[in-house]
Amino acid sequence: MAPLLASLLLAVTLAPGSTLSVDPATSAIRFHIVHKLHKVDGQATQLEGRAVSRDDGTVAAMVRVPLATLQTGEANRDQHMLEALEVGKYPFVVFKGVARLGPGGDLPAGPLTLDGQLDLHGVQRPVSLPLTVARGQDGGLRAKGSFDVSLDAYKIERPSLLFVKIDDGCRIDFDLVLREGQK
Amino acid sequence: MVSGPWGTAVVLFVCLAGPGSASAAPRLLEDELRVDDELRTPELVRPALLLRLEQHMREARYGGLLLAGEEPAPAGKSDGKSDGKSDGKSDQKPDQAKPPPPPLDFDLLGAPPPPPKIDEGALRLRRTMLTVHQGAGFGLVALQLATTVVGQLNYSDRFAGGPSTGRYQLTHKVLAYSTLGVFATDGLVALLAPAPLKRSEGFDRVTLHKIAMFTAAAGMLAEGILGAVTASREGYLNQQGLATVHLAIGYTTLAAVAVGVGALIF
Repeated sequence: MAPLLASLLLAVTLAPGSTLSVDPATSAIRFHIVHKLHKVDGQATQLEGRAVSRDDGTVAAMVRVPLATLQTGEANRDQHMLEALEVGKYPFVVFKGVARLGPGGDLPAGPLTLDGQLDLHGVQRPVSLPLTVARGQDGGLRAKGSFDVSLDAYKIERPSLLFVKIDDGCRIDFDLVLREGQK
Repeated sequence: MVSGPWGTAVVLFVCLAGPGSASAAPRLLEDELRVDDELRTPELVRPALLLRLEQHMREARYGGLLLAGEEPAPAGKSDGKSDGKSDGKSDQKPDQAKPPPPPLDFDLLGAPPPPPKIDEGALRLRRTMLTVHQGAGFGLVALQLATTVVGQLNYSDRFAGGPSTGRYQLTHKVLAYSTLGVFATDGLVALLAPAPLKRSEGFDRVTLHKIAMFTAAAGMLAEGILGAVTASREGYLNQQGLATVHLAIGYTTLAAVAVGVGALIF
C-alpha cells in the first residue's frame, strides 16, 4: 500500500502547454567508444534541450549538442574525433522526438519511448529512445536512458589506431534534468 | 474446350510459375495442343484455350491460385501461396500497419549559436598528415630495431672478442642512414601538420610522446655524429670507447622511440 501511495504522490504530470528546459549544469550526456586496445568514455560539456507538452497528449523534445564540446580527457583524441565528425561542416548533433503521455498528461510509471530522429554528421535517422522519467528531490524532472548509434550508419569515418578502426557501435547515455520554464 | 487432367496441369503450372512465366506461355500452349491434336482440331481448341490461359495468367499475376473450373477468389484476398514468398502478412490491411512516425517539423530551441570557425580543409590535411606520420612511425620502429640489432652484431664482431671481419659494417651504415632519414621525415610531417583545434592541457599521452620523441631526436643526432667519428677512428685506441658510447646511445634512442610509440598505443 505504501509504495502505491508513494507512487501516486510522485506521479509526474505535464500540463498541456508546459515547457521544460534542460538544466545543463546538472545534466550529462556521455558516450562510450571501443577500440581493440582501449575503451574510451567521453562527455558533452555543453548541451541544450527543451520539452513541450502538447494539447494532443504528446510531449515533444529536442536536444542539441555542439560537437566541438565533446571531450574524452585527451586533447589529441578529441582532435581526431572532431576531424572524424567533420565538425566544421556539421557542428551539432540534434535529437528531436515525440512521446505519447498517459491520460491527463501523466508520464507512464515505466519506461517511456521517445520516437524521433537523430541528426548526426549530416545524416538523419529515425531512433527510438527508451527512457525513464522521475521527479527529482529538487522538483526537476530527471530523464535517463541510453541507446546505441552505428557510426557507419551516420557515414562517420571511424578513426583507427594501429590501422584498426574503433568499433562501429557507440553507446550514448543521457541523464537530463529538466526544469519548468524556458531558459 | 480443353478439360480433364491436361487442362488442369497447364493451368496449375501457369499459376504456380506466376507472372514471370509469361514468355513460356506460348510454348506451353503449343505443348498442350500437340497432345490434344490427337483428339481435337487446333482450330476448335485454340480460341477457347487462349481465353482460359489469359484468364489464369491474370489471376496468377494478382496472387490467385486456381484450379481449372474454380471460381476466382474475391478481390483483395490471397491465400499467400501465389509467389512462394508470402510472409503471411500480405493480407494485412493498411490501417493495421505500424503507425507512421510522428511529425518532427518543430524547433524548440531556435537557431543555434554560431559555431566556431573551423577550417575543414586544414582539419582534413592534419588528419592525413598524422595518418602518414603514424604509418611511417611503425616503419621507423622496424628500421631502428634492425639498425640496433645489426649495430650490436657489428660491435660484437669488431670489439667484443669477435673475428673483426667487418661484415656487418655496410649493412649497419645503410640501415642507420635509412633510420635517420625516416625519422627526420616523419618528425617533419608531424611538426608541419596544421595546428589542432584544441591544445593538450597538462601532461597526457601526447606530451609523453613528444618528450620521448625529442629525446630520440637528440639520440639520433648524437648517433649520426658519433657513428661517423667512430668510423673515422679506425686504428686508434679510443675507437672502442667511442663505439661503446655509440652502442649505449643506440639502445637509449631505441628505448625512447619505444616509449614514444607506446604512449600513443597503450
